Amino acid sequence: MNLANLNGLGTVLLVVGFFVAFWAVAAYVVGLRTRNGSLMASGRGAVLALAFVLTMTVLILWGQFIGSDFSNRYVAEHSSTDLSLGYKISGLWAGNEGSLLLWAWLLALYAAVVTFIRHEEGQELLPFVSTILSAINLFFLFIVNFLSRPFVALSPVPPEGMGLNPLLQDPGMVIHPPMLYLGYVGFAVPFAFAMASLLANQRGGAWIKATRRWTLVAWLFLSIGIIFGAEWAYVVLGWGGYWGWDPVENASFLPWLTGTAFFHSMMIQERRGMLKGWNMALIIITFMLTIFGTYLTRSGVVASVHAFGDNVLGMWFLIFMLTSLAAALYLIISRRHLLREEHQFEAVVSKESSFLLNNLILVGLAFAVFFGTLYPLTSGWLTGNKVAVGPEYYNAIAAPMGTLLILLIGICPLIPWRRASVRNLMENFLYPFAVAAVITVVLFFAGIRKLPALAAFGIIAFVLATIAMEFFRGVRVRLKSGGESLPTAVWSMMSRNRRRWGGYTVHIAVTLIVLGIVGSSSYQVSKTYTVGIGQTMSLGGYTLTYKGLQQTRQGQAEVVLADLDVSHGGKAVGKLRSQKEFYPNSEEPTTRVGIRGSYKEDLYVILNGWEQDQTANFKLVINPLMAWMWIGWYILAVGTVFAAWPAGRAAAAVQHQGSAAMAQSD
Amino acid sequence: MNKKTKVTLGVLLIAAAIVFLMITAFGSSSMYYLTVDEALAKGGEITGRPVRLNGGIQRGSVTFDIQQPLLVFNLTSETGSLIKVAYRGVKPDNMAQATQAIVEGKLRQDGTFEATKLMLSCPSKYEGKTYEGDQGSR
Repeated sequence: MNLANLNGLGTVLLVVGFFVAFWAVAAYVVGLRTRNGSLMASGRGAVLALAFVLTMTVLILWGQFIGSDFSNRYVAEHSSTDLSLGYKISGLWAGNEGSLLLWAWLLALYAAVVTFIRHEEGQELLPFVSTILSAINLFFLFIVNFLSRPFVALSPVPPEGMGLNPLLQDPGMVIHPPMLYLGYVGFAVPFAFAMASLLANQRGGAWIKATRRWTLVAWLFLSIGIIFGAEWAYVVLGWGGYWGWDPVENASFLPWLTGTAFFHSMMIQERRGMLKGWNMALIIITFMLTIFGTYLTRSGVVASVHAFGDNVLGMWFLIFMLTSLAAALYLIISRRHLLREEHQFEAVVSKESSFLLNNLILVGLAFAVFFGTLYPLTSGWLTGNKVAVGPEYYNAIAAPMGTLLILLIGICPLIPWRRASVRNLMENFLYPFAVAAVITVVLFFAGIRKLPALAAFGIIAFVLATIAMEFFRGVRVRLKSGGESLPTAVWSMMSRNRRRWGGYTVHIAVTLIVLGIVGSSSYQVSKTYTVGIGQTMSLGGYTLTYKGLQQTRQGQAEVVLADLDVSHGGKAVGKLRSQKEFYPNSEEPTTRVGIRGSYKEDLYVILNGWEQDQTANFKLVINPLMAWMWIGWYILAVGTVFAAWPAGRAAAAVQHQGSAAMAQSD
Repeated sequence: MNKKTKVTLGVLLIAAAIVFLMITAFGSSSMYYLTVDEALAKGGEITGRPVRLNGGIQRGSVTFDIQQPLLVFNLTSETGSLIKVAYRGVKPDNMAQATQAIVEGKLRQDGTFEATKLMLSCPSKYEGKTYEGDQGSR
């Protein structure tokens, strides 16, 4: 096949995809109205066909990237022949056109899996779910067909592409955007189930049960996406540290917060039939925020905050958001009788109320972040003066609310359903409180005197102690009841109740992440030095000797690296390299920070610049406890997978009985 | 007072606490978001107050002294007026690629903007260069 025709083929496939999605929606809608089974079967077929068509489309674009087919403008603008394979593949999401195609493709894949997988609950909702997912995809297919086309032919064909923006040439680029997108797109599934249950006039919580796992999957991908973004921003200068409250970062954090709130409050609906309207609202908000995230990232609203709505693409996203919001609200209001609560709060202190508190804080935090992100726009409309808020605003809110949230992580899981007694509270919290108190005092005398940090460390100790106590109690019961070795006891306890122990694991993870954040933000120290070869710099017990510069080649880039010998407390502990990378398609280098990490702290060395005689300027930073943040994220992923993993058949039966028994006993 | 009222009151109390937190955080960190022209128009009114300034980077005006380190450049507006910016810190790698900059800091008496924070925006944060004027719409 002539390579130039691939553009034509891709364009045709996108048109076909649009009509297939349209057919899926139409067949389902008519089929559902007329109870026509064969039409609905045809809709199912269309959902599968769309996944197939878009997979072909994406494969063509990937083929063009790998084969460096610069007759496609999108390829020519985001790739070049000398790029490594990984970066050629990530060209798919290096720009608008490709990443919107990625959205449509992932959504089609999710829709196909949802449509054809067997759900133990909510199977009857599937026709509605598939309709909604296909309707959402119509929007994205409209965009890639008319507004942001990935297959525009370029003539004359340039001999070489422009390459990938050097700032994007990092292993993070291969994994961070697709994970984030899998997370964003994934939240469309629970949203579709929620809307489907309203459309199907369902009163029960089948949609909640059907979406628990889907929500965890989306949340997991979003979490992984966020962490890879943070790690990337940490090692490559120019993105502003692991977290800078940049609007784009906020955009990914918002659905994470509301999604977290959602899968907590969904448990209350599952167990007690309460908070139905709230759950609906939460998943709608979460879905809207994923679209909002894409909108912020892709519309250019961020790059120039003034141009709100000027951009054509942005306007269409806005229209889509408002339309879906209006449709969702209409559904909720017209069917509000379905959302009547089955129970009332029985006591002010109960598991239900503690979940409510956790939700309020998560959503409140999301609201504060949302408000701050959009404040330059809203203040401009309201007062004519654009007023922006800096990271201080976010930190001032996130620090106390985050601390409170961590405290709730310790308290909530141990408060019984319906109502708590003083005795129960004493039993569960006396020892952890004692442990936390001792640790706080020790830390105080060890020199931790900043009150907020000290409080946070104390609370972290408390939380970890509560979880450890639960764990040992459970294991002891199993060991006493006989016969099992310790590892078997641990495994069978945890795998019998995956939700519970997966949840605890994620709680430990979040606590460790906060430990890293508190440590690195409260006790960071830094110093800048200009040194000649052989001279030393020192910071926080480390002494670094500058050994000079070297020039090498790594892939596409010319790299200048500074070698440093590191010693700590007079003892040599190793070498460190900090480098700048010069890419042929860029006038400016990319700085890659040299990091020497331990469980205690990261020594973080930035090479700022140098002169002819190799005199160089460095910035040294010590970030205490950083490693715990990354460790926490990995544990979080493991815990989420553990919680979402389907229980084996036998275990599932036991778990079912177990949870029924638990419901009775409390 | 029944349970429902108590819970509702609790919810309202927490919501109020969050709003209170937002307002206090706001007062301490909000800053004017101005373009170069707007900043010049306000002049003395904003001297010494926290400002976030947005403008184009004047080509060829960038100097960097590694010993300090001190980065100096001019921010311009579409009308051509400019403000000199002094930033004590590291020169970001994408300085030459960047066309627009956002700086945070204060306007000094002498009219120089002393920046404590520098953010650059490339034509788009993620996009490379583009082939302009070809067929097809963007």
